[in-house]
Amino acid sequence: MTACTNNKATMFATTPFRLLTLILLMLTARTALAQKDSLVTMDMKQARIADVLEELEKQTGRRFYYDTTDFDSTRVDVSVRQQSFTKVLDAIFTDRDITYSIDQYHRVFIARGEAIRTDLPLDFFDKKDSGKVASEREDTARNRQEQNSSLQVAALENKLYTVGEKTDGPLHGIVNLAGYTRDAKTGEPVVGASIYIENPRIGVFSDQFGYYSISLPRGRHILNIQSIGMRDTRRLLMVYGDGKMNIDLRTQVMTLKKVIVSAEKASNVRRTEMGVQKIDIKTIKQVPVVFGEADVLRVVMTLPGVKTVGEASTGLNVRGGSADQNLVLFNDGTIYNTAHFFGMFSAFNPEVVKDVELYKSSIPAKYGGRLSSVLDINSREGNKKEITGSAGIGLLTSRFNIEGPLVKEKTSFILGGRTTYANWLLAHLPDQYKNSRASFYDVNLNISHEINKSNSLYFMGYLSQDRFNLNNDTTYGYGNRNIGLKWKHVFSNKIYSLVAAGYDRYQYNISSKQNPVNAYKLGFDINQLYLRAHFSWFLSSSHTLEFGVNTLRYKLHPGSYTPEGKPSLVVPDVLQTEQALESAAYISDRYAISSALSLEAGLRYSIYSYLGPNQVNNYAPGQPITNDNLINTKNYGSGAFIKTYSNPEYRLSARYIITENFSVKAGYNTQRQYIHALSNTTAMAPTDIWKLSDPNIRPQSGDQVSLGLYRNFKSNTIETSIEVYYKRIKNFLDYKSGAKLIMNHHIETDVLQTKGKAYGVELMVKKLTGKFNGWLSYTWSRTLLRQDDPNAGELINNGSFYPANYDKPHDVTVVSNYRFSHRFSISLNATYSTGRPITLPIGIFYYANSWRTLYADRNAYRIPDYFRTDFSMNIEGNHKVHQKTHNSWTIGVYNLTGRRNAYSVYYTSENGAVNGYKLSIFGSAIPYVNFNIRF
Amino acid sequence: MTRSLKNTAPALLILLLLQCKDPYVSPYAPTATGYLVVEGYITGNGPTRIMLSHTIPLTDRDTLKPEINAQLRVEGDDNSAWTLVGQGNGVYSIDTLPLNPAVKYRLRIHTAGNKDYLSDYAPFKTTPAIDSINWAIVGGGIDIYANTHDPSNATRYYQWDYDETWQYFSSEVSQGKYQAPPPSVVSRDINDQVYICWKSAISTSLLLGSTAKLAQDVVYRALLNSIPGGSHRLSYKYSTLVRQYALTEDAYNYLALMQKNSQSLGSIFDAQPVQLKGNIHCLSVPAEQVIGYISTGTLQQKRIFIDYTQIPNDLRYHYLCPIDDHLVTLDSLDFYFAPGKGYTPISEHINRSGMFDGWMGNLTICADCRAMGGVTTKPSFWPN
Repeated sequence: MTACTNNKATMFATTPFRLLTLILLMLTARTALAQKDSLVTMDMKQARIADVLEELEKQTGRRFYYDTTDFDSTRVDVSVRQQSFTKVLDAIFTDRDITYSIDQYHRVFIARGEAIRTDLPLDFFDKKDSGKVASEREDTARNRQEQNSSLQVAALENKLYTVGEKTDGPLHGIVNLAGYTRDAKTGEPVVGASIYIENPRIGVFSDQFGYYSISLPRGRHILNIQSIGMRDTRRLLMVYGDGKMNIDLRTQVMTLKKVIVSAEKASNVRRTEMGVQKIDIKTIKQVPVVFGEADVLRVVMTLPGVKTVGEASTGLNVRGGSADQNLVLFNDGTIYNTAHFFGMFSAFNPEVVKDVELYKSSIPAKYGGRLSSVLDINSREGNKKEITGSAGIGLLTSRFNIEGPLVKEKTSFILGGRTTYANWLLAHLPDQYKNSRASFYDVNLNISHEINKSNSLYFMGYLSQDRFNLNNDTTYGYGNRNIGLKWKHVFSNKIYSLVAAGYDRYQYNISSKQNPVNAYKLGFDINQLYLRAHFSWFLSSSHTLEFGVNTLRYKLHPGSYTPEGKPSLVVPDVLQTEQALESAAYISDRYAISSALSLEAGLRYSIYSYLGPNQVNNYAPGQPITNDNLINTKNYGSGAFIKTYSNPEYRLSARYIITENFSVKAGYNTQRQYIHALSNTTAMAPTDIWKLSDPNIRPQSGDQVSLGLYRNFKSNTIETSIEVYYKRIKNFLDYKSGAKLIMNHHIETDVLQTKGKAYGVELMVKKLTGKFNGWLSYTWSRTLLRQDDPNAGELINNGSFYPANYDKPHDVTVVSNYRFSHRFSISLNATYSTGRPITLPIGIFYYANSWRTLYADRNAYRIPDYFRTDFSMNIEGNHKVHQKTHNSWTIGVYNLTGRRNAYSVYYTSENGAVNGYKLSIFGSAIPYVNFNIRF
Repeated sequence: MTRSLKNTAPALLILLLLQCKDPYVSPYAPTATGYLVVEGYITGNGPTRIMLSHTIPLTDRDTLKPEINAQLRVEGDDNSAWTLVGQGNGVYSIDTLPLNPAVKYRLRIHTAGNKDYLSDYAPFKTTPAIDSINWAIVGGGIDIYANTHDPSNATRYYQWDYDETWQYFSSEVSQGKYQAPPPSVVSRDINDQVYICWKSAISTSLLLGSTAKLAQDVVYRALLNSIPGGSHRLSYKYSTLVRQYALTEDAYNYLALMQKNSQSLGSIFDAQPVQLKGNIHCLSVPAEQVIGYISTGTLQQKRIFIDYTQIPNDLRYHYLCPIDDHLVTLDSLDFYFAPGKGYTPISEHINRSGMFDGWMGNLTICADCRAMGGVTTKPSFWPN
């Protein structure tokens, strides 16, 4: 005997054909069943309904579904002999206001009052058909909703939604459906949801705003919606014409035994782009990191093809590119320095970040200006329904964020902040360090506002600041400032525009007051104003066009060295302000040639102008750029176009689906870069300077060809991929031996423009669902540079190829998580990589009363290989929904084996002798604990 | 400025108890180099000393390979020339040269291996006088600074080096001296005392300064030396002689790079070490590297003294010696006092009955100041 509540969703067949069958069955159900069923004989007096039904189950083999509480007080008399099943039921329930209904599987549903409907509202039939089922009462509430609003919020799976004006005529032709996918709980957009119909197979993904636009044939469809972390859902549609529909998705409640099987979720097989990796914050937070502070960039580093020079660096080296060749966008704002606290933390507050997308191969045409990759970090929009927040406390940092509606359902905000209290640690140091300080903070504020159905506004503000000094000697400070506004306008279902404008700034300053005569302040900053207009046009089910223009106005203050305090004799020295304008127009088309073959072709044309006022040095052509070859210096007035570079950039990628879960992709793209970081340090230092291309420093350019195979297993729960690439880089800036990079009035004489090549193979196995999830990545790659032009000045390593600082051929990373229960999971990371190249002394000599090191070729040796494992436990408090706060703990150990991984090896002269050392950033296992609270 | 950054980062991290430094031995096979190393300053107001040696593999620790039997000649662009005299240990010297500040000078070398080397002409730089050498107590130690200025604003680039000498005492006064055979201890002559010693050291760091960014050519408190508190140098009287050299910009840049390569590595934000390119070239094999930079000019020097009475007690050197002497009977003198046995006689021992029965002795390191590395001869510059 089964007592349960009815679950309608399971009762529906999945294809139109089966549905039709069901309906037909229903029409004839009563008689058909009566003939087929065995006859019932029973005689019971004042029996409970439950007992009667049990007896009926025994005799007929049917199952009854009902709510026991409905019937415990009811007693019935039954006396039947060789009666049909339905007659018995009629006899029992007549005049008792009890109704029953039977579905296609012969299950019987019993209820008080109105009969439980076992089928759909059947108004998709022609008028005459629906007349036949008129006995099934219409859902009047639904009708009201459909009549009142053309923009429906489709919340129910078992309801048929009508799209467009109902017509009687035959249904053919293609129409368009568009709308937003949102989180039902918070109202925030769901990005990257897959929205598709099975027959014919048509699918799209929702964009960064949760917006989707899908072209469908008129008629009846089941629209499937799937997104990672959200419960799979579907909507029943009757499509008559163009329409809008917003879809609310529910967060996936973790279940222990359920395996989520999904066809589209693993979009890597179906996406046209290749070399794209997306990670959501939930995954990021599972990965153990040092000090337990969830770190967006550290997790990106576990992806294939992404490397870094060491633990104290958040600089990414993507497919052989240098750290400055990544465009890091945080809600459209460019972040020039992604590090906090000597590179131990990244600049992004995990409480605010929603997801991270890394493009390392197929870079969409809308992005440009960097050679290697685009790292697009999106923050959340904030809860649209209620005020919520969270706070966290770690060993060195704490964070707080609050979010909620300003106008319910229309305007929401999210405000997050982080700070460190490392200073207390420093205060416990020996005397000579007592006055040391190191601190950072960052603040995010995002506001999104829906003006009306077709207009939305987004505001974003970001501020970060780092400051450190040692014993009041030299103080270092650096920070990012970003502010931006974006307007989204939906013209029609098929076309929308995004217009964004904003201001980005990166600045650093160094000051020292210890010696009053030499006291100075050094300043550097980059400012950029941008304006971007982007259009997405869902032309048809096979063409999606994206086009737009953007322009970027740079203003750099490459250095100012000024006295600090009255006694200072420092002569103010200010390098000329640099200005430039970088504009681009682009168009791309995603063309689905067939359901298997899809092509994305993009063209971006970028124009860069170095603007006056400025003084430009001219050097003898064909001669090395040195002071000796300086011919003259030319002055340009304000607004003068000193030098213009322009170039087309091509972005091509194609995908061919071989079988349902196996595809092959290929891509080719070219890139240009007009702003370059200059550094002679291995790690990205806060004092690195950036330089704009000018008449003497040509833009960097690069192209890449890549090929990949993608295969999913086990109902798409396991994704595998293998990608190979070959990349060429031209005019990569390297420095001459002994270059002076800071406060140099003619920096062109101290740098070299080199060539580079990078190639590699990347393997990845990923499982993002189930109790056990994670990924394994392996990369084999090389990055080689060469300066062999004797006219460019110094030959490096005699003009032969030499490995770049981040050339680490082998790299294996495992990120895994095992969920024991809703409340407890463990994570384990392991990573191994070849040691990075390093310049080691080839000998020693005696000079100035001490042995000193002798160096020759660059990067001819390697530091010892790197290996590290991390472990963490994530403990959630109880999951009762209605409590004021939810808390969680993260306890873990970074570098579990305590291996002293070399960050660098170096030789230094001490008391006259040369000693070699291996420097490890983390010389032991580092335990951490983090407490988080949500409210 | 980048240099202080380098110091900052590792210091903070050490303090976070995270960072660690282990000795490293390169697994790579040593490279044969043997390049010529030339060090010296063609001096206009004192003897010129040029030292020639060779680079050695990293693994051949501290075995100087001097270049002997070379011929060295200082040449002026006015066709003046002088030949230096080899001392047999790689050092070649000549007494004060009559140099002309308007003339540029270079160094020509012909080695025993028949290779010719020639430096670029170096302009003669007149070094301004050292204004003062002063010192201050900073963070539990003593910092010594140089101050100088050039009213003509012409010098701009400076290098310093220094000698240090300090006077100290042994913890106890030794009145006896062991001699053999036969093993015996005799009274120590006043001229043979081992109680007062002088020890010397030389600077091992490249010390450079630049005023290129300043409105006036003023060097204010350029740090030369930091003596930690409790150093042996702070026993009784300390003296340092600072020499100052004017450099050209190129010479300064060359030495600054050598300084970075050899003294400033080991931080998170290390500048990468690079190959040095000096102003000395091998004429026989043009591709061969030559280490060193030849400069010419005058040099200036200044000496200061720091007396123990000028520094707080807790910064002074304190002896750690056993208070109690040890009686060594006459039959065990050689066992204790023979060279290398570790004990030095202090005074005669008279027993209760008034008989001389042996010598009181203490650890040599406590009783003989020479054990700490000094000499008992007072330097000529030492005040009485």
